[in-house]
Amino acid sequence: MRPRVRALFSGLSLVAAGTFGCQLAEIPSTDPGAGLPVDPATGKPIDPGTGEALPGFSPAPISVGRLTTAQYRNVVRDLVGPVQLTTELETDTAVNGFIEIGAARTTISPAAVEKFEAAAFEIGKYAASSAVRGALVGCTPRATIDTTCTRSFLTRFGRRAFRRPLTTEELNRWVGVAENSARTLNDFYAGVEFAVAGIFQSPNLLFRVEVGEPDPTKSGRFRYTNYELATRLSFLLWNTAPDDTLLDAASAGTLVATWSLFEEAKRLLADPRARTAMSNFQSERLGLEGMDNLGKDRTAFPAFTPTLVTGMREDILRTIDYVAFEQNGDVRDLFETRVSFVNGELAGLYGVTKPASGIVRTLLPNTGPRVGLLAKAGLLALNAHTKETSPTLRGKFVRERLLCQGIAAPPPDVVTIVPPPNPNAPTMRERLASHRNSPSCYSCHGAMDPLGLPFENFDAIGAYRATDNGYALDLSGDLDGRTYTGPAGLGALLKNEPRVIECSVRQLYRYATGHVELEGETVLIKSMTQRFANAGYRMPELLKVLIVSDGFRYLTRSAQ
Amino acid sequence: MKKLVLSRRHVLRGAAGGVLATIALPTLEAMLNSSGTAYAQGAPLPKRFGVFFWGNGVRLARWNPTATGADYQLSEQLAGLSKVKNYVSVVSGMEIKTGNERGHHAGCVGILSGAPMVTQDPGGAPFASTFSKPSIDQVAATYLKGTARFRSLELGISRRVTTGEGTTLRYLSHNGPDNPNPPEYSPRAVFNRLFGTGFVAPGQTAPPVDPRLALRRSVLDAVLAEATSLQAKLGAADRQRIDQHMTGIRELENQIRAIESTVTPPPSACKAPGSPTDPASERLTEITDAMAGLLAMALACDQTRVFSIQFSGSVGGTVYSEVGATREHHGLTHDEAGDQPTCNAINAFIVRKLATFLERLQQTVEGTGNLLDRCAILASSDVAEGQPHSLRDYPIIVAGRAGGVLRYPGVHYRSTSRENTSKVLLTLLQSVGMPLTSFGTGGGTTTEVLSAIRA
Repeated sequence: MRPRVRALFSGLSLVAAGTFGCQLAEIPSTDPGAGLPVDPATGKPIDPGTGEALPGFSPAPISVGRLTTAQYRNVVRDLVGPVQLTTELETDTAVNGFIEIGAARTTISPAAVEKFEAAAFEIGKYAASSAVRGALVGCTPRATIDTTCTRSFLTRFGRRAFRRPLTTEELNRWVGVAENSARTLNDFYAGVEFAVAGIFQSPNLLFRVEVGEPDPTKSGRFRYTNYELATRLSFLLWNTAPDDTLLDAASAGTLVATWSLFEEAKRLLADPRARTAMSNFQSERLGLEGMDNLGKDRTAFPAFTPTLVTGMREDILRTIDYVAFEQNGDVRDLFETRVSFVNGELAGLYGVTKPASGIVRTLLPNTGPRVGLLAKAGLLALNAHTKETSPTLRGKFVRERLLCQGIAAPPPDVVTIVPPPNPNAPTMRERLASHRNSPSCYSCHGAMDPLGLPFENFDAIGAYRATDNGYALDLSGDLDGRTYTGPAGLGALLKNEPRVIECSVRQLYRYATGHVELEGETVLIKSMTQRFANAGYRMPELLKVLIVSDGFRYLTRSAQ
Repeated sequence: MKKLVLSRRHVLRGAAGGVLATIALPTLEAMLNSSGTAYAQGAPLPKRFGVFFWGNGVRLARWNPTATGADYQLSEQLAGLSKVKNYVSVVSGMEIKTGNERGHHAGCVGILSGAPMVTQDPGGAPFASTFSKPSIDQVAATYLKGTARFRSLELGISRRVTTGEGTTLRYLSHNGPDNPNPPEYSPRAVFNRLFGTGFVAPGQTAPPVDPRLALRRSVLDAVLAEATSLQAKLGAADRQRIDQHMTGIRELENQIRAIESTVTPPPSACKAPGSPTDPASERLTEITDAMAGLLAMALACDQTRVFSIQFSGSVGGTVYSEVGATREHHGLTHDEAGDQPTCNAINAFIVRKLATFLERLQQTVEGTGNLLDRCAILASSDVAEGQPHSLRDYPIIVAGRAGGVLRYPGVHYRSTSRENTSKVLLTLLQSVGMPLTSFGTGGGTTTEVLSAIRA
């Protein structure tokens, strides 16, 4: 699954990387405008779509993010082991499509402080348990108080926990907590328990403190520190805190150089955890969280079970993973793929052979109606009402999640009901005529309904249907003046739609940086989009471009 | 200067010559004064403030009572309140004045905080919003906390809430923008928090002080020290977020201190509830019954004086199978044809669940009255009617007597001039003793109270 190396990037890093084991030509340019056409008069990059000049790059201001619950659980696993937490953690909050953006805005409520304390003592007790403590602590205490042993443990453990070495003050603080606890309870390992429980409540663990330092190579600029870069890289590619190898690279002071960051990026990308993390990104990007709460009509859809929903979710995520990482393919192929991953129930819904057990990869029939990511049952069910289809929601999904276009809310005091089927309007297409016939409705619905109507051959849970209410289906659609028929028609258009690619780049950038891109980052988004195309639309290459980019490595620090 | 309070345990320990004494304590009515209106030490019985919230509004034609004043008949949708009708006032005809920028979002923020919503719409990304000001429960909590162990209690019943549009639709209680207090949905977790380790019921013997408690506090001190150092590195917005984290840590320290030294005399109505097992998710009646019992004892035992109940979320997708619904609620409010019989049944059901809470408070005797006598409770929703996302003729129920400040028996007050809903909020905050003369922000601001619902 290692991607083949492609020297497709315009511009080369000038760091003398040859001696460090990677090919100079592999490293993507760090120039925020790389790959973009330039205005011959000014020499500055222009938007390849509009030809307009792009404002110069400026990095985003800092915002200290909380760990997401997934990140917290991964950190527990990596630092202590497979603790089965009984405490239900405070939920993540998605803002503008990503919980990473919510994590950079929300804080820890008083009730969450209690939950984190309870969880921290579960973790501490696990760490101090006889089966775990030997390997974890790494030394055998000679007495209830063994300062040498405690210090060596907390020096090592603290570095993993805070993603940087502890300061002397911090180390003394946690050694003090450990020894005070050990003395009071007359047990060295009680000290381990309390110190671990304390470190797991520290804001230095619960928040990602990435505040940068003055860049010695350019006056007035702030860069992320070596340890902060290790943290950013690890949370992006593994959704967890950096491992010792990455922290060692940070300790050596090399990560601020692109060759070193790039080497580590390649190492992390080659690990299966990168694919899990990217599935997490895809799940958020497509809004799959909503699949937990679909509440479909149980009378109309008795087959709609939690197992089916699991199969639907896995079908979407594994198909993307298969094309983007397993095959290292062109992600645009997702719009035309027949690859599916099915469990027994989803196989039934798709009308293909049921697997003996588990989830298996299968190819849907070449001539069948179900083609491309958009015809995955999960997305069709997610973007539908509980009993009826919703061309509006399906169109909204394409606008919002695939084209990054916002849709205004319906005006207040407008009756939004879709009339029930009747002799004059027996099909959904005809029932939605009220949207088309009212200019105020159509100003927004005109952008949504025509994108969803071509999916009318799939019902509210994404099962194929040949008719609507017994009437033949009209699957014609319209994307900004370009007409097409059915999911295959829309898929073919979207595959070659530059806005779809730019939107996916924007979403990756938002996920990676915890904010919606600002004007000063537009040039980088455009550049990344262009270089994604140059790289054959291969996700691992896009990730590498992002990681060495100025948007990932620099920040703006406002006055304190 | 912290006031030194001798706990009963300290006194007993002294009497036993420094040995950890475990002597059964007398309790109960003896802990109240002779008239039953105050704790024996002289502090009056506390007032309490609560919010009950449900998503997707009502069907106004079947919600509003036809008559006004004290002699009104409960409507079809309000019929479930019959056992507590005297403790309830119905307020209709009022309007949220903070604007209707976005359906559900604006109403939710407007009715819960009297302030406009904060739009988080940078363009090209899914819409989100949050509160601009604290929700009313937290406003009350700053005033009412007193010696209660917990500043406020947030309960959730249905988990089928909208998760993709920021904090507004997802959480009722807010301390400020992007600063929500997510509810606890598990009765068992609520029990463990309030009545688990460290809770000593009246008449029970306090166990010896666990040395781990002091160690937990020393850990929190260390965490606070790290938070303080961290703040020096941060800009103003992030400093404020760490501030909130630190507030939570200090509250937890105080909760642990309360366990270590029982400074609050256990009030007479307090009985330790049994430990509940969690009903299956979305068993709304069973969860409501369990939560109502826990809430009554949380108040009676002075574990908290402020609560909020998010029965169902704004734009909530709850499936009310209890009334035969097979589809989620928000979709139903938009799509159910005709007179929307299922939506009607759902609203009547929600009111019956509100009644479960109110009846439980009424049944809990405290001094010469009951808990409802000392509560002020606001019950409302995120829209007036679900289908058009309207903010006019807003459905509002006020419950409790607030120590005699609110009208009893209650009335139906119908505004004929689309008065500002913030008037109800100001009236309720004043009723629990807050010295406020105005409430709300922007168009939601008011300096007037609703005298019709005051005694």
